[in-house]
Amino acid sequence: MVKLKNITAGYNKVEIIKNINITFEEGSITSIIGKNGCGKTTLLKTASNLLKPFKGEITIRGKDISYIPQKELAKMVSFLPQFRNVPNITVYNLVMHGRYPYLGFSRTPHKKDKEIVMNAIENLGLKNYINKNVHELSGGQRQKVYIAMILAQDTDIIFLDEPTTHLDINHQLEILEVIKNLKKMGKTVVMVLHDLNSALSSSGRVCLMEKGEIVIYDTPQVVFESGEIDRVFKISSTQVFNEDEGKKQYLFYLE
Amino acid sequence: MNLNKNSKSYNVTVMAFLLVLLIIGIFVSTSIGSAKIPLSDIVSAIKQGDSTLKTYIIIMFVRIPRTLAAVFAGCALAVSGAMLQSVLNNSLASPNVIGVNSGAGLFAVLIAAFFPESLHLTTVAAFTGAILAVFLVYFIAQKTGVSRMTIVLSGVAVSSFIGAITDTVLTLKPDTVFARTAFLIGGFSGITMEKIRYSGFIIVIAVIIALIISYDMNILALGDESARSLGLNIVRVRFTSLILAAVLAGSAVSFAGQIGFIGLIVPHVSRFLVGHDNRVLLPVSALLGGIFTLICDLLARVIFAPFEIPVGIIISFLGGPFFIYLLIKGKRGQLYG
Repeated sequence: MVKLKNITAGYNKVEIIKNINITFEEGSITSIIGKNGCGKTTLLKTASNLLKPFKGEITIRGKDISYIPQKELAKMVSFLPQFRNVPNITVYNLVMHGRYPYLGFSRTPHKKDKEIVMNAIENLGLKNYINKNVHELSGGQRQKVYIAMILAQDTDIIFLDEPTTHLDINHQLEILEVIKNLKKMGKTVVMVLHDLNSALSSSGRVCLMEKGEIVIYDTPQVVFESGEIDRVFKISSTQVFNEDEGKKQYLFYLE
Repeated sequence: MNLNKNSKSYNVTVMAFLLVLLIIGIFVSTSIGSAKIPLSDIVSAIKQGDSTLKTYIIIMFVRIPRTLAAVFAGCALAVSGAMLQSVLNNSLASPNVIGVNSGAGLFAVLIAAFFPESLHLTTVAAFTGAILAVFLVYFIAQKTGVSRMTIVLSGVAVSSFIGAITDTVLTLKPDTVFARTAFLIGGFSGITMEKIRYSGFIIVIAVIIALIISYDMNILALGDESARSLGLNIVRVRFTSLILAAVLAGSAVSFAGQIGFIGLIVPHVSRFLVGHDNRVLLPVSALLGGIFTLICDLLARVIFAPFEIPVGIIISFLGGPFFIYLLIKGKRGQLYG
């Protein structure tokens, strides 16, 4: 369980998120939604200790995150940023980077590390690309490689910043399936999503943000029915039931 | 045996081949010069150890120090450049980007201008200047978050400022122009074991430490946020890498002067050969840097023999067109990622 208590954070003394109180339950998928610049990424970075809050406290299973050594924290929490460098290395080597927190002084991976890396690669269906350079892969495949790296990091809590942005619809759906599988493995996933339908249909909880504050944090149905999404994004929405799939879908259009 | 690029056996083969080439280069460099000494004479002269023998004197006091100087300088500058390009994620980064050359140059000129009787201290002064300049660059960058960009920008600013001080000294003390010019061109003539003893030792230690942190540098290449999320202390790794790069380049320029291009071109060729994994790239750069500088020094000695031209000129003559060739011929992905 990750708990943020009275968190205020930002950059260069400018407050981006204010007085945030939120708890991410274990084994759940939470989507953070909101307009551009409302503080979604700042919230994610603060929760994963990449950004020190101006005030407030973050705890993981009751432990204050600021007292957990960096390498120990890397065994508990992983973070996949939206923007990152794409190193000129093979898929295998990139996924192996996920084992970094577990490597000793020589940085030599043991048999167990190699097994975990191979499992992560197979889990994401990347076995055929194992010796390929990451640069040679498509955006969707590359995203899978990064998620395999996160999987190899083997943390219980995973923060993903816009994992489906810039991907075609096929890869978007594939990545969302992978994320659902992470939940089945017992992982706690918190992600920033811009696609509201994906956020509402693939998460257990949705956190809607506006101007650095949480507007509502509840189940997708409650958040949708509150009408706050329509108000914040200045849109109208409809809920439809897809009989073929037996799932609810959400449609959004301009007022 | 799997000799695909990226495979372990391919990397080991490349390193073994370069090592053999370096050893051959060392023997050739010791043998060839204004007086050609056959390999058998070299071995017998060293075995006899007769310090009155002309061959022995040439080998022990001219050729070996010069050969070692070329190997150390090439190795140090190449590893320094490879580290900087990796840590700053900038394919055009080289030791002068972080102020090494300007700092070393200023201190060399200061010695010539104000302590002409202590010219033997130029080596120590140049090294000190290089390190101080890098600390200044890092201090300024630290004030703005030690990002890749702030380091490069503060490097440009500090180099420009130090360059202005150097030019002022040269204007006020025109007699020091010769020292400045000799330092700018760089070369290995007149090198003695005393000059390279400490620098060589420092270079060996710095390369070993660089190899130890090479995997951490790989993690840093993922970007600051990913690296920190993996538990890497990015400030410590970046600071250590910069200091090592400065120590390596500072040690080299302290006895060889400003030899351009090695820190830029050798890492590119190495990356072309073995890819971007620093665990392989750094040793390959070290070997290739030594070989390249040896060859250039050899050419500098024999092209217009018995006259000699500064090695820096040869390196620029070969390095410039070769770099342009790489830019045109090489696929962008392979060169820059």
